[in-house]
Amino acid sequence: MLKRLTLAAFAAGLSAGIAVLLVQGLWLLPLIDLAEFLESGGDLNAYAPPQGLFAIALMDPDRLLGTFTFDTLTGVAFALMVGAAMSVGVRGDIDWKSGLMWGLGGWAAFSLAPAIGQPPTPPGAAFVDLEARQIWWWLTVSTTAAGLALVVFGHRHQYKLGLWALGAVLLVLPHAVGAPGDGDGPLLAGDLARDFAAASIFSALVFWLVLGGVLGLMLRPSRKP
Amino acid sequence: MAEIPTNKSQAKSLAKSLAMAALSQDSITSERASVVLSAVFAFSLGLGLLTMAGFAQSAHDVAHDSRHAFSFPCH
Repeated sequence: MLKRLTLAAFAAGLSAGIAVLLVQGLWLLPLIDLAEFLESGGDLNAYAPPQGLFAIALMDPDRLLGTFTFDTLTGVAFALMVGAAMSVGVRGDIDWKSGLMWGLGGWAAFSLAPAIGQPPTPPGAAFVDLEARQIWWWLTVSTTAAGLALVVFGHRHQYKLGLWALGAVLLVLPHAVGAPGDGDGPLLAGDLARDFAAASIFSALVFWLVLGGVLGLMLRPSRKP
Repeated sequence: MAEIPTNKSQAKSLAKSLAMAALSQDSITSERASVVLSAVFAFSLGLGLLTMAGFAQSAHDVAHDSRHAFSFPCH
């Protein structure tokens, strides 16, 4: 069981890492490049954007390799956690389609919900209290994941109304508490910040759908008894 | 419900089927326990890996772009 789960998590993490690198290379990494250019005092009119994934790869291969490595590690980490949650549920329910739904749930918990209070930021955005933002991030992802689980699976239990209510409270809780203040606010505001947030949330969606789909495919019960 | 055995061979077969039922119940329970144990282990492993990939300061530079992309609050 553990071997199968680990193998599935590696396959899902690697697939998601490869898929998200394409989206990042086309959309998100050019924005990071632009943000760093502006952060170092560059003039926007003098900026020459790298064209495409190959230009980014040629610019700094080691950096792209590091990004790919950590995309994949993050994918394996999420896949281990989601695969564990999937495997304690009803075995017959696992396939690539339900895997996509798990991926959607992971995206909502780990990308969308934190982004409501703390939008993804490009380099150069100034923040104060790192620790407070990390605490809020962990609070948000854990209460959102637990809340979603209660809302989605609550109907299997006799006290379903209570579980649904508790789930709704958990989903709202981090936003009622509120994300810690941004201090002086992002240095790079406006279009770049908005584009970056959109690129991050979209690339995370691709990442999570591939991750969930592959995980469901790998963990589906075998036909053999 | 099994009938009350009236001879030795019926008693034997009842005992056998009861033992089989107990055994299969036992193996379902232990299979379930192994699934839950594996899941707890895999979940902890994933959580540890996530903390390392998303938040460890020692890996900050190489993980930089990936962390920005996933919006881990890292710096």
